[in-house]
Formats: sequence, structure tokens, C-alpha cells
Amino acid sequence: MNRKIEINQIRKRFHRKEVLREASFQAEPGMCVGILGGNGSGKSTLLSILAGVQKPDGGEFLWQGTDLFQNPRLLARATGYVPQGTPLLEELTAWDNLLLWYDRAALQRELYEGVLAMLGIPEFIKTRVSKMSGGMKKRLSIGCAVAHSPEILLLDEPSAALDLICKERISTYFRQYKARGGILVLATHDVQELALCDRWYILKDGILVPYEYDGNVRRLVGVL
Amino acid sequence: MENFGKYFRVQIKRAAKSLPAVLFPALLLMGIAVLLGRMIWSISEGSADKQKVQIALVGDLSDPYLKLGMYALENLDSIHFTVEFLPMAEEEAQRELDLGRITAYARIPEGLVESIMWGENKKVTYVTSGNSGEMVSVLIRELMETVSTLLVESQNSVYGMQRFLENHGLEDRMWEATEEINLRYFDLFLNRTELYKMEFTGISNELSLPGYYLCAMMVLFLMLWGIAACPLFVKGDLAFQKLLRARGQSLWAQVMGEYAACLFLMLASFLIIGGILLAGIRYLQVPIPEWEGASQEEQLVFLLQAVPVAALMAAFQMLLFELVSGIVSGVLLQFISTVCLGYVSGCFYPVSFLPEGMRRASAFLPSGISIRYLDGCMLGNGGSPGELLWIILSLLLFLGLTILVRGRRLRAA
Repeated sequence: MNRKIEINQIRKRFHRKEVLREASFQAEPGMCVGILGGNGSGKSTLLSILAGVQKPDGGEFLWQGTDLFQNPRLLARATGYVPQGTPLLEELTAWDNLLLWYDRAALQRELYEGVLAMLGIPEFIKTRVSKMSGGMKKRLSIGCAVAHSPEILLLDEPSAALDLICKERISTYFRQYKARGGILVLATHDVQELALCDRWYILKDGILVPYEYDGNVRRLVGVL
Repeated sequence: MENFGKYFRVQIKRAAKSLPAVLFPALLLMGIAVLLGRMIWSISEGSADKQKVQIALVGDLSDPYLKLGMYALENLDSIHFTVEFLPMAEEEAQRELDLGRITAYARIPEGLVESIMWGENKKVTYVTSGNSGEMVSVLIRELMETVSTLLVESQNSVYGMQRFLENHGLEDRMWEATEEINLRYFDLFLNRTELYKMEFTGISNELSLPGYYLCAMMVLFLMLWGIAACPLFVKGDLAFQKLLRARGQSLWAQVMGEYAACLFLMLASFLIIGGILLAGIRYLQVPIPEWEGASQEEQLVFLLQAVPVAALMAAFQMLLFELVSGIVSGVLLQFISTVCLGYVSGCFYPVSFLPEGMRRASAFLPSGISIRYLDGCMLGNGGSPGELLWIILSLLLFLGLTILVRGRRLRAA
């Protein structure tokens, strides 16, 4: 079974504005795809379409020979999504938030030796979200998004406004996720995350164009 | 996450944890409202006891029959609870009237009783400040006219009877018959309260003023509750809702889970504060005519009958929470909608005081429907099925609109 993803000609229009005219790319298991673009270029829209939050006007999302847009249940199972902001319930603790996505037994296991342990969540498991730092919230958000062990992880600017230690911790997790054969799709501006990617695309005027990132940020800024 | 039950439980847990934070400001507001209400009530109650309509009598008061009549009115008749007659000179009466210390004065012409006895009708002049719209003045003028008519008409009949006795050679029975007919008229006048029956249409739905305002206050509380709950239910960036959607949680399941939490929290606050309010009403002995002789259980049943109203208000609040994306705008929207809907629906002034157009509009507003339903419950009708149906339909409409708005916001985010 083909586990690579194929995104073909996704289109999206908001009233008169065509946000996405032609967004296409491919990614194999164990690969990280970086989506670059200026503010308002449509990166978040693309990711939320891929996550099933919004419906595209056209295009397909192929995985294992199935168009996931035609099979929302499979789409929800195959993808994990970390949107911008804090997708958490602020009044509850990390434990309570995780219980929404994990079974109790699975949660105990993951906290002890699984992905949650890797993200360092046991350190603040009893802390209320409203009292957490930005880094803690982001790690917890990722922990929630990967509860069902998705093969494709979609992240919308995961490292924005985080300190270096936290960024490094999250990057370490991404490397391990890739190593296990997962596919990462990142919308990012962060240099550290760009270095993590294997393929880069620039979203400009609604069109996704391949880009060869060589570590030269000045050249990248010129293109954006 | 496919499990609606799981989401529902988490939302309830969230609501339960937030209960003290929501309850405290609501409790504080309610306590202040009750104390203020009691203070205003006791002031108005005290002043009502003291307040009698004062009417000065000027002119010739020397006649013993007039004195007897006034004595009877002031001591035997029920009018002495509301009217006080004060003999004084006309200049003094005019001055007192100008200062607003008396409502009016009546000028008694010289030899009034004697003139009546001889069939000559001298008129009693009633002088008031000229504010003809004042209800008390109108009533007193009517009273004076009634008394004058009664005197003149009865006197005419006395003369008619005397002429009949003279024409039929029954002069020996004249004194006895005149005394008897006078006593009968006197009796009729003093017992006039039995000649009519007063019916109070009430403020709304035949409710008394305190009963009406208790219902209005409950609706107002349920609307204002949204302000305290804003931090809990207003969504900023919709990130959590996006994640739910990405995990297959339908918009319907999202909104219903949140609605359940909102309703749970609202009901908990409402029942706790309502219980305290009822205890306060009993303790402070606030007179609510509809609850005269009602047991505590009956009053609790009334609180429970308000559950459909709370359900409607929770759905309405959900829609308002959905329309904004920040706590400040959420609080503002809640406050403005509470003031506007409360005004149009009669939470501040009874709805019967409002223009026809507003009254019609209030019939379709959630607050208006709620007040009407609670009025029925307070009167012991348990709320009419028609109003209950309206409440259910409005509730479904608000939830439907909330789902639509949520979908639109997620698409635009």
C-alpha cells in the first residue's frame, strides 16, 4: 500500500479572493515538508483544508490510494493537526485535556514511556493550562494532536514565540516522528524548523512553488 | 475524537470547576439587588402608610349637620383611611395648595345645609392646583361630585315624599317618615363600598406588581448571567474548535457539548441563587400576593418550572458567545442585549406600560416569551403549552443559528 501523500491542485476561494489557486505537492513517509509564505498568503488555510476543518473548492488529498477529502473519517484518523493558538481548555489541567483524546490506560502508558514522556508533559501534568508557559502549551497541544498516532502531522507555526530550549525539545520530537516513518507538514517562518524539512514550498499568489532552501535566509526573504 | 459523551463529560467538568468563579459575581449582584429592593420597598411602604390625601375645608363650617356629616365621614366611613379633612381659612388653604401640602380645598358656601333643606342648591366649590392629570385630584373631584349629587337627589326625594304625605292627609307621619328616609340614605352612603366590586387586572397576566417583578428579575438575572460566563464560553482563536473538527467532531456535537455545560452552569447558579432569593423573600417577608399562604415546596416548584426558561436563555447566550471573539466585546454584547431586550420585554417597566409596537415585538423575543411563561407559572398555571412550545422552538432556532455561525467562523478562520 502506498503510504506517501499526494496533494493535487487544491483550490479555495473566499468571496472574491482566490486564496489557493493551485496547491500541489507530494511527500513520502519519513519526510518533512515546509510550507513558506508571507502573512496572509494562505498557509493556514492550506493546512486547515488538509486537516478537514475547511472544505476545498477543488483538488484531492491522496493517501494509500484514497482521496481523504472524500473520506472524512479516514482523514481524521490519518492526520494530526496542531493549529495556531492554543487548542486546549484553559480551565482544566494537562491531565484533563489529555483525557479528552486518550483512554485512561493509554494515557498512563504514554506518560510513562511514550510520546508524552518524550515531550516532557509529565513535568506539568497537574498544572492548569491557564497557568502554563507558551512552551508547555505547545507541547501539550502536540501531545493532544498525536493521541491517535496519526501518520501525517500538520503543524501551523509550531515554534512561534517559543524559547530555544522548548524549540529544541519539539524539534527532537519531530526528528523522532520522522524516523518512525511519519510525514510532517509544517507551515513555518522558523529557521530551525526549516532546517528540519526535506522539501520546501513557497506559497505565493495562491500557488505553491517548490523552493530549494540552502540555509541562506537573505535569499529566502528575497523570494518571499 | 468521535465520542460525544467524552466531550460532554469534559465540558461538564470544566463548568463545575468554573462554578465558583461564575457564581460569586452573580451572587454578589443578586444580594445587592435584593437588599436594594427591600430598602426601596420599606421606604415606599412607610410613606404609603403616612400618606393621606389632605383636603382643606374653608367657609361656613358652623352648621351642626355639616359637622355631624364630617364627623361621620372622618370616623365612621372607610374614607378616613385615605382622606383627611382640615378646616382652615381660605388664604391659608390657598397657600398650602400652592406649596403642595394639600391636594385641594373645598369652599363651603354660607348656609349650605339650610339651603339644601329649602331646596336651594348652593354649590360646593372644589379648588385644586390645576394639574388635572393627577389621578388623586380626579378621584377626589369625582368623590365630591358624587356626594353633591347624592345630597341633592336624596333631598329631592325627601321633598317629593313630604308633598305626597301632605296631598294624602298624612301630615302626622311626616316627621317619622322623613327621619326614616334620611337614615336610609345615610346608611346607603356609608355602606357604598358594598355597592360596587373592584377587579384588579394586574400588571401583566393579572399578576401583582411584586409578582411580576420577581418574574422579570429572574429573566434579567438569566440574561445578565452571560456576563459572568463570558470568560468561559467566548472563543478567541477557535483553535480548540479547529482541533475538534479535525478529529471528526461535528459542529452539532461541539455546540451541544458546550450548550450542555452552559446550561448546567446556568442552572446551578440559578438554583443556588434562586434558593437564597426565596429564603430572603421569606425572611424579609416581602409581600408577594401570589405567594400568600404558599408553602416553601410550592415556591421551589416555581423555581423548577423556570428550567425551560433557563434552557432558552442558555441557548440565546450560546449564540451571543458565538458572535464575538473577545471577552471585552462579549461582555459589551451581553450587557447591551440585556438592557435592550430587558427594556422591550418589560423587565424594567411592566410591558403593559410600553407602546403597542414594543409589546408586539416583545412577544417574539426570548426575554418576552420567558416573562410571559414565568407569569403563568407564578399564577399557578404552570405555563401554557403554547408558550412552552414557543420556548422550545426559539431554543432550537438559537442552537441552529449557533451551529451556523460556528461553521461560518471556522470556514473563515
